[in-house]
Amino acid sequence: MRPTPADNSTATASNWIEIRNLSFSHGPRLILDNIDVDIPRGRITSIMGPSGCGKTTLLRLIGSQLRPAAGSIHVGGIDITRLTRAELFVQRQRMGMLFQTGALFTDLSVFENVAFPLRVHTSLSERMIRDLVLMKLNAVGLRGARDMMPAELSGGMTRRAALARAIILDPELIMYDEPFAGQDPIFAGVLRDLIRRINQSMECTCIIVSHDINETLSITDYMYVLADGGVIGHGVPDQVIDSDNQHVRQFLQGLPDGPVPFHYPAPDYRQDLGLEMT
Amino acid sequence: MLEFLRQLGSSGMQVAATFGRAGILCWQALWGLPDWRAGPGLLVRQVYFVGVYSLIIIIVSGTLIGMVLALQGYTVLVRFGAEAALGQFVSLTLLRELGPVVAALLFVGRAGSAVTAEIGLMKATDQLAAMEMIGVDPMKRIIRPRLWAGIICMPVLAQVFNMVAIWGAVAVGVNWLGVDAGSFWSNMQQVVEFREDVLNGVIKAFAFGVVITWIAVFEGYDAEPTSEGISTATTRTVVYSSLAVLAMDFLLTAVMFGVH
Repeated sequence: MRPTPADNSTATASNWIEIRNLSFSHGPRLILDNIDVDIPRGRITSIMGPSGCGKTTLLRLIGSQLRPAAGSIHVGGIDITRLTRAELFVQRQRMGMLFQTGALFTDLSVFENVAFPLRVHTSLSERMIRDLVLMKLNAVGLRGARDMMPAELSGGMTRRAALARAIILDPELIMYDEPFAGQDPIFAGVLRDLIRRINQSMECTCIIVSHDINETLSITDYMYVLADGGVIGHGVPDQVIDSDNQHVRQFLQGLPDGPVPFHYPAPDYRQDLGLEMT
Repeated sequence: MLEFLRQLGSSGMQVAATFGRAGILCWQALWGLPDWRAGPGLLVRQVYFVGVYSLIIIIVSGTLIGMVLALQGYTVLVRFGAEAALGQFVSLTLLRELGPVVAALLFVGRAGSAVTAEIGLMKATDQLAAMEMIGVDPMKRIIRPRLWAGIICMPVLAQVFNMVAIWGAVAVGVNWLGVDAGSFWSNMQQVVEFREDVLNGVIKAFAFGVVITWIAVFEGYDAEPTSEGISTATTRTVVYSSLAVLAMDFLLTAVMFGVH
């Protein structure tokens, strides 16, 4: 039976991340409004929702790249909103993140990109680093591309190389930001299998931020749906799919109009075209 | 009127916030020497990119400016039969003013803009964010080596500029226009003082190096992560640095060589 997050009022050992009363604003715009989220340990949790609903913002808040306006974020039992800059950099060694763009260092080869965390955080021998990097590159199918530069890689290869870099330190938490966006079906399938294999072999907690419903739901253990700055639905995928919430149904069924209107708020159309004089 | 005051206050707050962010960045970046455990390569590499790559433009410009100085100086001095003073005219002009200032302006255009664009692009492509998530502080890994490299390279480049400019002046004044070589060099040696002229020029170049690189790394780090944002940040670096160099030159000249 798949684990479910604990009741929002309690923190349990089954959750690797516990977010309470979290709010975040970008200028005058409130992006996340007093939300509670639990991410179960060792499972794949997806955070879904329409564009601009704050999915990536939530991921960056968990990585503490952004500071919340209010609330707490406990990762592995530590409230990362209270850490100093130096403590934060130590904590981040327990996390890996796959960025939507890959974010490979453009002046380093694929091999050196993957080796970078090892060179910075460990004192392993060159031989050991080489073996570890080749093992991770082999896991993502890019051992033969070790000497290529990021500019020479396709979009899918870039993301796989970035994935190898994200898992090189065997992190306890891996965050995927829109891993399937812009990928052809073959690479999307490859990435989906890689995410599932990594989760099972490393027993790490995974968070996928995506609005690619089919690919994401096929590997998700638990999911949250965000909209209008809040959580509008959460549960195991089957529960959420069967939800009565109109907002959730509109998102999962891809309906063009509904609680999320097709039209951005605007003045009256006829008036805008000058057909009616006021 | 009230709206004007509101906008004025808002602009003032924005400027204060920008200076605050720039100050914090400078403090975080300069708090400690470059991380030698990560290998001296980080600093050496930046010295190479910032300094060695600037050498060509510094040498070519220095030579041409020295040649022009000698030509202009000669046409004026020869009217009074004082062409033998060409050496002191050229050397003092270069060591005290033109060397540090022109080298700094060239440095802004060549290295400052490149540093801003590079850091801005790293931000726009999430490379800085990726570095943070790997547990590496971009302040130490990216900003600090570039800041130190600029501070180290600027005084050296200014002295290279002075040297080649004097060679250019010799080529025009002595070899072409026929000023006596002995008079040229002896006048120069007689008039130029190490502390008053050479050292003050080095201090000026050092101060310019600090300000230019500080502006360059801050504008890159603070840039909007879009192509337009990077373009704006690069332009700002060139404009702000050039104005800062000229304003600082006046202040430093007043302090160093002002009427006592």
